Amino acid sequence: MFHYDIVRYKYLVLIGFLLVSIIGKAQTTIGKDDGKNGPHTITVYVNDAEDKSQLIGANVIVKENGEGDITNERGRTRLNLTSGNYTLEVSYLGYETKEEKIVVLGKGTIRIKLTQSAETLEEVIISSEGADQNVRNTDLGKQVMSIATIEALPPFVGEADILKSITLLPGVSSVGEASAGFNVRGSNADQNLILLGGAPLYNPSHLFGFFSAFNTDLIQDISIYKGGIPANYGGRASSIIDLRYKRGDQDNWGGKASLGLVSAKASLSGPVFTEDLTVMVAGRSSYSNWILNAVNDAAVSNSSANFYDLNAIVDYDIADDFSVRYAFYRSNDDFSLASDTSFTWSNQNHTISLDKNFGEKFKIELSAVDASYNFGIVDNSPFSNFTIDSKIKDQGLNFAAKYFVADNHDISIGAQTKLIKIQPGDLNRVNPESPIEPFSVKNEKAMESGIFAQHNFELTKYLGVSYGLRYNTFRFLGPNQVPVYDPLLPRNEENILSFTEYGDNDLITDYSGFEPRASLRLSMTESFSLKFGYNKMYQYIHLISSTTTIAPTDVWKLSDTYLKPQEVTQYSGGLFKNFNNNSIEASVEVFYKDLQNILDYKDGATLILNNNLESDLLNGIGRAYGVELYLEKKTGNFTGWLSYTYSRSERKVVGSFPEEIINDGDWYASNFDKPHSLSIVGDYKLGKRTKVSSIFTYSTGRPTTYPEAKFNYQNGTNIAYYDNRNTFRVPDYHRLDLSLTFGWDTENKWLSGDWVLSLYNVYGRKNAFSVFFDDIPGSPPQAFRLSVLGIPFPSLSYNFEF
Amino acid sequence: MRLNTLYILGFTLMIFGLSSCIDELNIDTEQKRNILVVEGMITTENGPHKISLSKSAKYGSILEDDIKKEQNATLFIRDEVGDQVFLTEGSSGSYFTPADFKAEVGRSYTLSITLANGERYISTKELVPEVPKLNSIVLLWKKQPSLSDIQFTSGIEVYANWNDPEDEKNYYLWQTSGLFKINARPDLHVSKNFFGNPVPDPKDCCEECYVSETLGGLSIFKDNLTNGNEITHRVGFIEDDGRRFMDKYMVILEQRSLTKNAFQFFDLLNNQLSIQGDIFDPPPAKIGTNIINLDTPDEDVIGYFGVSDVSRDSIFLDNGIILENQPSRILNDDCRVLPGSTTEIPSFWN
Repeated sequence: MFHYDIVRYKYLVLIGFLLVSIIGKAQTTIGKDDGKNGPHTITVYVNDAEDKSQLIGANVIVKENGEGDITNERGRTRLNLTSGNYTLEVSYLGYETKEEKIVVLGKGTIRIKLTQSAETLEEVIISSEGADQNVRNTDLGKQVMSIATIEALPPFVGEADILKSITLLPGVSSVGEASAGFNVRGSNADQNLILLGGAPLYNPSHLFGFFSAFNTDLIQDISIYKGGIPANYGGRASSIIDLRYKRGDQDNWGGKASLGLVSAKASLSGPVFTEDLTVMVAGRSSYSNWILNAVNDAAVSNSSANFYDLNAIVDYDIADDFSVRYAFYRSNDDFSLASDTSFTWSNQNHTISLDKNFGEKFKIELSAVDASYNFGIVDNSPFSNFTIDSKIKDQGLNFAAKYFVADNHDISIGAQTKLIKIQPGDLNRVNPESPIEPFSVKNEKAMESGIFAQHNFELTKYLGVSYGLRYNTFRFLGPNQVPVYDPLLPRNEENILSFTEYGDNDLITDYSGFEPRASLRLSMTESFSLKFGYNKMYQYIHLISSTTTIAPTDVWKLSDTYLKPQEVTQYSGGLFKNFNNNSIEASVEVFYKDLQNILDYKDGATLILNNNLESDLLNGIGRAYGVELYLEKKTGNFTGWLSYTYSRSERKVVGSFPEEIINDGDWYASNFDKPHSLSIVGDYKLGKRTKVSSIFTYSTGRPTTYPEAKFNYQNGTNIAYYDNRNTFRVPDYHRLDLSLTFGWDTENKWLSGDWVLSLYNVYGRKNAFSVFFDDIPGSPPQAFRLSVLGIPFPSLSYNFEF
Repeated sequence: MRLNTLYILGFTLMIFGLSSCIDELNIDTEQKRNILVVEGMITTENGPHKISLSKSAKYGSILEDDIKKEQNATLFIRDEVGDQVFLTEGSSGSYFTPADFKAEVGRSYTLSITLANGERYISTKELVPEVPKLNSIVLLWKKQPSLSDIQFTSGIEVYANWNDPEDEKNYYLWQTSGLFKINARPDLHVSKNFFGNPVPDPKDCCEECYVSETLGGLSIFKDNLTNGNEITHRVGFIEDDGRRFMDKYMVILEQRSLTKNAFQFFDLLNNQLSIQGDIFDPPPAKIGTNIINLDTPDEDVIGYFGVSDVSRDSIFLDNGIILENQPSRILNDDCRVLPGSTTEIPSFWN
């Protein structure tokens, strides 16, 4: 009897082995048998079976011993197992749970692919974090958006757009359709640090803000920090937008492409020789020139509006616990009107990063970043043509080490340093006959460094603390020529007493400061928590712009003898509650911000080609406060969110002289103070490949300056007289967008893609981009409204994978 | 095809923010301020030079509030050696210097105003800077970008050419005016009868007139980027209205000097006039002044009392440079109905 059982057992094992070799992958053997029993380190990667993206926060459990862990931000976890047979159970919200049988012989790697669950296929929101993370962690004012979420929104001119999607979140707003910047919790657009794969991006948009300047196909996810900003981030005073790249496909070569009305994009990725080395390349280009050229008018067809962006990302796993990445990014815009003037701008970033783990508990990251932003204006008008070229070069080194003390307990330390060089404007002639005298605004150079430590830990299930400290130094360096102003007179060109000369790398002035950060979580129940946060940040670079967008007419300026660093202190708190097994997320957050050394400008300031910019600028303070409500339904056929924000953003400028006072020294609304802001986003799945999405958004009109009187000058034209700034508002903004996504499964993969038909501004609301005043013959002097897209705007795009 | 056109239009609208996206917006600015407005400039040419006084009104239609001329004020201009001239009121709110009064380069002048209600104002002292002589006037034909093949705006761009002196900062203002001959058809004149129907009503005179016009648009310039060079700068645009360029057109250009403060004033005014609601608009700013209320110095005043040296030149337009003429609009009336017209042939014509 006993003998028979043994024989039968051996027989079954034999069949089993045969089956394994025939079917191939029912059981995976890991490592080589070196005779040692272990424990061996088994590295487990979890990916989406479809788009190969890394799944972060997936649960990996060894059924035999109940041990397990969740995957980290690279979709990876490690297990320590002795030789033997095991079953891994891998689960992730919105995916089919998978059991994978493994035979462990030695140290090795296994890749597990999960398929999205049938009932939620293609419309689940892939959060990079666990379902209950919003309640469970100490993050406050942080929002993670996945590309799936962004791609599910109705697109604008056929393009899923990251920056436009961000403005649908509570506390984030933008000035209007054609505006590249966005404002987080009442802060200026230059106070957002936008990191693309770790490198700063100075101009995040194409075509003056109509499109984001990066390709969504390469982005794994986007983390938006509005408050509670961890100490490893510094340099900008208000918010962090961290866009992380995906890793290239480690199994097969494949790609994605999308054709829209204005632009097309494609990406391709795959392994090179080995799955350890992957490459991902992508490109996007507009073909709007073709459309412009088709217009049968010389003036229009001579205009051009071109943009492109390119990416290349190479990942190499030198060892299981040691990887290196190189990322390249370039964007370019070229915009010219038939009226002789053209604008160009381009970003170019190189990033190299090393990621090394020492065992399970300790890892270090090293990176080198070279970022540049070049922008220019070319004026080709007859007789007096000129070019103005400006450049920013930002080169930095970053180091961070993280020690995982235990589950939910880690300590990080790090250091960052960078050299920033700005060429604020070089004026040159196009041809030698031009009377323009070449002129350069004095260049600027500074070294900005920071060290930080961050400690996150969970004292009990009910109490979590996360706190950190960052120390910054900023050294403004020569060569430079610094004017000395008469201290008793207003700061202007006439009152310069002398200039102080500084040689190359001479220290002109320096600033330093501590930036404490802290957040605290108190959990009442598993699904309900209270959080508090505090953070302070300094910023040493200023965007000085007289327009409402980030454009080549802007000036970027470093802090110097006269312009002190911007300083923002934020206090925030929130209530977080999940319902229905974490399928419904709700939160209420409040914040108060104190802003110091905020710049505004004098009436009639000259910003461009100004060597003594400080004489046209005013130094002010600001305050912003608000409450943000957020409700999201994350699963089912109907998903979506509602966000509502009530907030105010105000400024105050009181200088020593009458010309240095704005609005009699009272608080006045900032350019982007929009008290009420509401977004409703819905996504309804009609069938396996068909769904409709909608966005409704409403906000109070932005502040603007209205004339206080009209007067006659110059041949009887009525001219508007302005005095106090931003005392009125443009009409309220609201808009509805709809889109329909559909597709058919066919034999041909080129034809099996998704069609996206969308309608922007469904009811044709003429939202005012601006309100201005003019006296046009034939009617009384009156207000006019410029609506950038005041008509329903349809678009069609086709997205497919290959 | 229809859809295609729509897309092209839509996209072009989108990137250019064309005027069809601009519409009137009924806004009541609510505020009403009556601020003294002073406009006027004395030059080194013979007078009479005009200074106008008015009060600002609520921004909006004349039915709500209208700009009122400031009448019965007393104005005089004094130079630094104490010579002074009184201005006499012509039409309401307009005050004129004597015809033989002219400013001199290198001297400074102040304007004093006493309003009918007794309020007293004085300008800052303005020194007359010398203006470099005009070398020549350059004219170019220009067609403005348009979405339509049939309707477009075209005209003549006026460029001033001069040598900018090297050892000083110069600020300029240009005034462009024109004189043209018009051939009308008074014999085709039509009147409306009692029932409002048109009936032929030929007139005997006049077919040929000479019309002089002052062209609007403010053109100013500073030499900070071009100091000491020979400069050709665009100073004006004369639109082809289908009438001006039918016969012979003479462009008259005055090149005037400005003080730095006057330049800053006109620069702000220019910014204000250039606001079109687009992304490159300068922010609205408070217009300054060099006029101060002697009793309440904080009172807001609008306008600038300017002093200028003038260099003047003129040129006949060579109609051959016009590549596409606008459809002509023949005046079926007595040509003297046009403002600024006369039947007398100017002495320098031909």
